[in-house]
Amino acid sequence: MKQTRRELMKMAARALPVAGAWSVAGRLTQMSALAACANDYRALVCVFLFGGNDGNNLVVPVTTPATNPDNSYQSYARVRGGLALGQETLELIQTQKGDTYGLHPSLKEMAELYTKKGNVAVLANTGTLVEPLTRATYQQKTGDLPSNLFSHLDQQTAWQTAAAQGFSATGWGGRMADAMAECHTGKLPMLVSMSGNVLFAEGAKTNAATVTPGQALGLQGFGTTAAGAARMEAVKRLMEYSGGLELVKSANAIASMGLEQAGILNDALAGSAALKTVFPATSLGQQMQQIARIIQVRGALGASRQIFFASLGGFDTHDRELIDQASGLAAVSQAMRAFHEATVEMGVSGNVVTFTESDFGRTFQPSGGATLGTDHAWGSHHLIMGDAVKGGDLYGKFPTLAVNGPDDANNRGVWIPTTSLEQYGSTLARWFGVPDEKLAQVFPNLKNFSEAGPAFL
Amino acid sequence: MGISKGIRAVVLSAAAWMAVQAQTVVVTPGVAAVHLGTYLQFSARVTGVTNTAVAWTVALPEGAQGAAGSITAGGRYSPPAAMPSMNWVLVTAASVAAPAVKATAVVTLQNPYPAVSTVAPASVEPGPFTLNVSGSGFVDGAVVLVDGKALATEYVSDMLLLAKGQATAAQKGQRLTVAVRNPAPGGVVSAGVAGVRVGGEACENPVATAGTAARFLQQAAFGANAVTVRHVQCVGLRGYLDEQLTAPVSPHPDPETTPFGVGLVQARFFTNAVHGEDQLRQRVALALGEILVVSAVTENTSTQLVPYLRILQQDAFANFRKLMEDVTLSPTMGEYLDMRNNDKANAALGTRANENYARELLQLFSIGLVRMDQDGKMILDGAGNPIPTYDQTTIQNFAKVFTGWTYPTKPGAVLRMHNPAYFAGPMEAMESNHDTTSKTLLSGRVLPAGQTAAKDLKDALDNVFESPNVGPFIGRQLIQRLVKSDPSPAYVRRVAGAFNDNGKGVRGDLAAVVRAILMDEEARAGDEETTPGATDGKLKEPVVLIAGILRGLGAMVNDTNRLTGLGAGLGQTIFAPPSVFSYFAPGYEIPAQFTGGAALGGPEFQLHSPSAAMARMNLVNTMVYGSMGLGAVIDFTPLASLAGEPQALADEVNARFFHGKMPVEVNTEMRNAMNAVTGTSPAVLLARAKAGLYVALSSSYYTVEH
Repeated sequence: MKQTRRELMKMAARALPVAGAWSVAGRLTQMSALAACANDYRALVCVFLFGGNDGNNLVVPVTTPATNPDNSYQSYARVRGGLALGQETLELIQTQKGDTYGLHPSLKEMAELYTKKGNVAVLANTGTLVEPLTRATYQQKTGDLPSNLFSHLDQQTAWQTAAAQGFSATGWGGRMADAMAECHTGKLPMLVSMSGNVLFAEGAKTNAATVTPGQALGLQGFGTTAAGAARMEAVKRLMEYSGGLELVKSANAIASMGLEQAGILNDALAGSAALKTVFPATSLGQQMQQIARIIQVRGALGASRQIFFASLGGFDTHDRELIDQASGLAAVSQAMRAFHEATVEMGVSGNVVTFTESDFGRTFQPSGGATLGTDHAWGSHHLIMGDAVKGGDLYGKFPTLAVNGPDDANNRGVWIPTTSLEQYGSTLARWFGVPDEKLAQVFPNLKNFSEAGPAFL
Repeated sequence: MGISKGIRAVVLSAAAWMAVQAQTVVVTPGVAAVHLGTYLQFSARVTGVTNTAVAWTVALPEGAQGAAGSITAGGRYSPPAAMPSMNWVLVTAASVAAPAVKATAVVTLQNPYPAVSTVAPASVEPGPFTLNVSGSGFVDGAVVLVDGKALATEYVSDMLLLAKGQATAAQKGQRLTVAVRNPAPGGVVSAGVAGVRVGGEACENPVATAGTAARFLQQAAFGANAVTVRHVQCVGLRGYLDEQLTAPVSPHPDPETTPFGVGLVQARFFTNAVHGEDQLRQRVALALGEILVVSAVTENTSTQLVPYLRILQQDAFANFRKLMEDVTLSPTMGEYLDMRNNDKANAALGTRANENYARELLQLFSIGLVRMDQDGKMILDGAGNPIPTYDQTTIQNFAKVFTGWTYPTKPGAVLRMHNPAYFAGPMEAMESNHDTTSKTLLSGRVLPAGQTAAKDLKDALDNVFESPNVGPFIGRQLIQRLVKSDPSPAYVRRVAGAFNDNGKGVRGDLAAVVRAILMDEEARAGDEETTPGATDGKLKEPVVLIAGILRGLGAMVNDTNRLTGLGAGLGQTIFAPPSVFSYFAPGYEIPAQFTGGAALGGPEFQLHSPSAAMARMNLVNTMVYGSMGLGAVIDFTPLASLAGEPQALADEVNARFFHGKMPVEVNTEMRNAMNAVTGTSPAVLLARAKAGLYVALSSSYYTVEH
């Protein structure tokens, strides 16, 4: 919908107090020529949980914190009813203030890294926001609200673009790469997606490489004969021919890039020994293994900064939540743990930070049905992992778990986020090396928030 | 210890007491015959004891090899999948009270009932031919009958037979009837399928060129093949559309007869796409299934999936309002989007009505998020903002409408609030579980309190159906699925007009919508001397690409094919999209770095990453150079016979795959690749033909149709 996108872009630009702050013109503004390029290696890994992971069962209050006097396991269990996780099944974690929470029982590996090594942090009630909102400003619509809340597609997009008020042609991963373009030395693009085309990884001047775990890199079946070589030449020449048709031209550009990237990766991976770390044979496990392999050959690729995108579906738990979320989170916990071990094996565990995203949280109040589930909501909790992470603590503000309570946007326990996605992202971006003066081009709404991003890095 | 001993003693003494009564067990029927793949119900009458329960067992006669089948506690006997070495079994009922008292029935096993689903190819020339006969219940020794005459038949599997025959010149123009006869015991002849036409069609005065017919068939069918091109030339584009509206429906496999996995349903998609005569119905059903999504990711048995696919197939040319209702009441959809067993709000449990179906019905299946003009463009308010079609309160009201429904009641059972899972027929309402408060819907329409579940549902669907958004919202997506990614607003308006009024004052006539889409001047730009616009066309979605190549190459495809995996490698597992958002979004735009910065829409490009583009070319490699097994066989010899003269082969590929408009650049590169394969042996000619084919079919100019 060409028209639609353009109009929404205009609309989104108009909605910003400072026009052009993230318009195309703004994005293309020349960067400071003296940006310092550190010569260490750093990587960010986004693990996107498609469907809207239920944060209310990701982190459960056990004791009553001074900051949340109404929260307790009992207040949680009373509303959650049949969806309440048994207190004795929770993986208990302690905050630095001494409050006790429980992680979902499937997050055994994450709880262990949180507690024993302090390599995992929890970020509470984070979501898409244009500006800070309260129950009053949301309900009276006096605040600037994100568009199309509760819609999967729109909120997946907003989490990837950090443009809560409308559409954006670029994602915040891509804009980070744009902002760091001067420091990018590698042969491959800074961004590599395991999930095909994702908006998160698109920048104005940066494109993403894509890898499909389990599939051959590049073109097969050409052999080493002269006829094979001639056929390859014919194929490459046809990649230049579009007959004046725009879609053919685009398909050619995509295929040419695929051929080039596959060649670079094949060359870099040739001769590197497989990692000793064993990854789970799940989709996410295979994606994380592929990411580890690319990090392993970062020297051959000449990469000093890399951003990866992996994903897992199945979190849209309108029913069967207890079963489906348990298996989904187990896959996440096991794959992330294996990935962490691989970074230790490669000696880069202090240089790689992994973090989660998801469409939205889910209603605190369950939905009726034969097997209980929950509906689409808003703010949710997230995990951040890596040796650089000041782990073993819970960041952000935990919501008051009360239907119609102070944090509820409506009447089912739909948490209004108290940390914006952009604050979350800004902490990751700063660590990654995006200079402060460029944060605004990555996070257009960040200036609407007085508090800096949570200090988990 | 002491207690359990005591209990055992009581049981023994009770049994001993019963044994002294004059006890008998009688099994009915005492002698019976049953076909494999069916079942037989037994009953037992026990006399002389108050406990009349029996335990059923089934056994092979002494010395027989194989499986005996199984029998339920209720006496329902299911024969084994394969015939044991002796074709009879013994069914025994023993008194539970006195196990020594029993009776036995003798059951003769007979071969299963054969059924023919598809026959390929659809037409043969006079002379020798080989038929692929797909179906179910075939056993070794089965014979294919063509017009009653037995052919030399090779048994491949219980689902596939290969038969060799001979068509005579005198049969030209006739349609031959194909049936299968299983051997004894219990050999039965299947129903006949009128399938195979003898002799290609030819007409004195063709009304369309071969190129126009071939181009039309990439939109209205799964691609061109020689037989269909000739037919469209004879009857014209409109004539073909008229025929297609009433063409016999290619069936999905029937889960009611024999159980099987979703894999067979997926394989049948490709069999039908390549060989089915109802090409347009299948294309439209595929398109509708990508808009009103149910996915085999969760609906992962044939029992769940097939009834839903049948709705899409049966309603492909029906009224959209009927489709809405059939989809809404489908237990498969009910399960996928949680409308079945959707309980009204329960204060005691603290639950509310489930919003899932309500939200997706509005957002994805009918009207979308924002108000739009009839040409599909957003309507903006005075401040330049889009106007939402609904808000969260509307969703909660629709969620209340959709409470109270449960799975259909199984035959013999009684309707309950939460019926057990069952997928035959529409969902049923349990009024006591329906929210009877009033509901405010779109445009402020209020459903009064106290209506029944059915009345609320009907009124709510009418309310949605009457929204002016439906025509452009659904029409635009159907254009994208059949013709082009980026239709002009005027094209959308014309199609929406056909949705709003089919010319006879009827709203929602999908046959009229499909006709308007395919006969529109914008769809036909590219026929004959006209040229497509610079942004016309669309990337072929993977399953259409696969079926199109197979059709063009005259492949023989049957239900043992493994083509589902080929589509999966490109991100499109047929009938199993990753979520209710389907495989790709209708509003997807190609990343700017691949368009030179221009905004360019292309839904299928969402699957087409740089690595996926490699996978797509490797798919062509597999189809041309590799083997796809016995389920999808391409005979390359006709093309190899042309490869002595590269230009002749290029001409043939042009006619089959480029509707006669292959650019000289593609032709040149085909010949460059072919000329590098030197020699004259048959193996060289084959390799040369394949080199040319690979270059043509792997090109972006082919994989983007226009």
